[in-house]
Amino acid sequence: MRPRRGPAAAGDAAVIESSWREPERFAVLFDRHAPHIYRYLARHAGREVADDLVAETFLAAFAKRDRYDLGYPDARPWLYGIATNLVGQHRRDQARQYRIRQMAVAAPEVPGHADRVAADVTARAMRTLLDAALAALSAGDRDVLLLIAWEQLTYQEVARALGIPVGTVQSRLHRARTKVRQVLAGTEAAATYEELTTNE
Amino acid sequence: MNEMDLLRELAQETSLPAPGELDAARGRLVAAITADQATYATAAAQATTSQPGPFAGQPGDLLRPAAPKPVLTAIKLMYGAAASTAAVFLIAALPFMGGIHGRFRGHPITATPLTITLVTVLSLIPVALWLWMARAAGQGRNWARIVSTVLFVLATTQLQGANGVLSVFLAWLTCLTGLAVVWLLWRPASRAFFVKRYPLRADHAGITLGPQRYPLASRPATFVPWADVEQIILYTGYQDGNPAPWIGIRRREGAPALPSGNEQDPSCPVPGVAAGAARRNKGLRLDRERLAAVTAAVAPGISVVEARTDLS
Repeated sequence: MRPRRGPAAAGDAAVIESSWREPERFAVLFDRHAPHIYRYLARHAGREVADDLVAETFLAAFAKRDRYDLGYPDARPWLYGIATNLVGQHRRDQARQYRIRQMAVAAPEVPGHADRVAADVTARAMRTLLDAALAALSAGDRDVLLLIAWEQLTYQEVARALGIPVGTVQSRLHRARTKVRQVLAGTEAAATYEELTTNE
Repeated sequence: MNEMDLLRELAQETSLPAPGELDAARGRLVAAITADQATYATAAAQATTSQPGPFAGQPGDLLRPAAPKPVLTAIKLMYGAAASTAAVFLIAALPFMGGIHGRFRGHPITATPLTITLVTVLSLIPVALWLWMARAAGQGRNWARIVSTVLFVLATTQLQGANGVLSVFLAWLTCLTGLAVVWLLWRPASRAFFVKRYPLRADHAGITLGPQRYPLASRPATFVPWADVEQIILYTGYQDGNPAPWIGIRRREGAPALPSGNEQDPSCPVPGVAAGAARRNKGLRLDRERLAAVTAAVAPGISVVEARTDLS
């Protein structure tokens, strides 16, 4: 489901501006957007880390609220950009986890393991495959793909969040999608998943 | 189903946080806000005008004028020179470190741990100086302009003793870059960034108008307490027949006379604005929103108005 937009989000700039004089007003921004930022961070790094990262995101945003461009009424791209930067600090560990999971997928199968996998082609298995696919992406490509796929930001909003041109967003998205498609297409589980979904 | 749909579908496995799950994070933010409020009164109550620059117009600029373009260019040049100098050092020194003999500034030397250390330190001093000057200039340190100039003069002496392609290249690079940097740092547009003056300052006590020099009359720094202020007037004034934005303080009737007298500023259309309580903002950028915010915070009821449009 697409995160909400509308009158409340349209007032983010006004809230930030008022927080210059009344800092306590900034808590309104937390109440509006923290749940979605939290979910984005949880998808990226897990719930155990997201709790800390969401706090860090809003602390960083609060610290630099004076530099917010009031020409943008919706602060979500700004917040997602900060959150993405913070996630990037954890990315080394995250990439290591991706590689471990990828190795687990490619590990020699023990007797009976194949049967269990074949009998239980679930979203969990797909998540593992997706993790492997995402691990193969560069950090920049992955950020663009996930902000669009998970948070459903527009190209313009992603460009603003990551501080890159819209054309770069499009090229990175194309490259990321192609690579993910290639990884998924090369797995038996992906084919199984395709069969399951087309039979519905 | 394509990969985007797949990503979205699996992402739905992660639900929004339950009520109360973010209480700890919210608590940290509230604590930061509370700490910020304690310092806000001091930090926010300081206002001035700022030089137009790439960062001008942002609230934080009021506390320190943004670096003007010549200074930013000079800083980039200095960082570039530091990188180039380091690169030349690597090209010239690495073969020496790998061999037995070498030459340093024309003198034959033998590679020993001591000489390698000395060559490294001596070669990296210029790099450190470039970085130091760039950082200090970026912070608006006036001494950085003076030291940079002195270093430039010293660097010109390197031209005579340079031997070899790399040494000559480095000497010319240093001198030409140094010349450009010194020229940029001493441009008139850079002056206000290095010379700390507050053309306008508002704090808990009142408004301070900085000193200004004019061809026919100079105006010393003038302080007007809030108790004497009625309005802050923005208007188009004239100096030597040329229009320019001005700011004036309209004082209450019966306010004590200013040290420079209470003579009305002839170019101000609003009565009650003494010449000593008016300043030209030519070449400066007034952040009206910040000024209004600070005024509202420390002196509510005193308005900032445009003389031509807002004044009744």
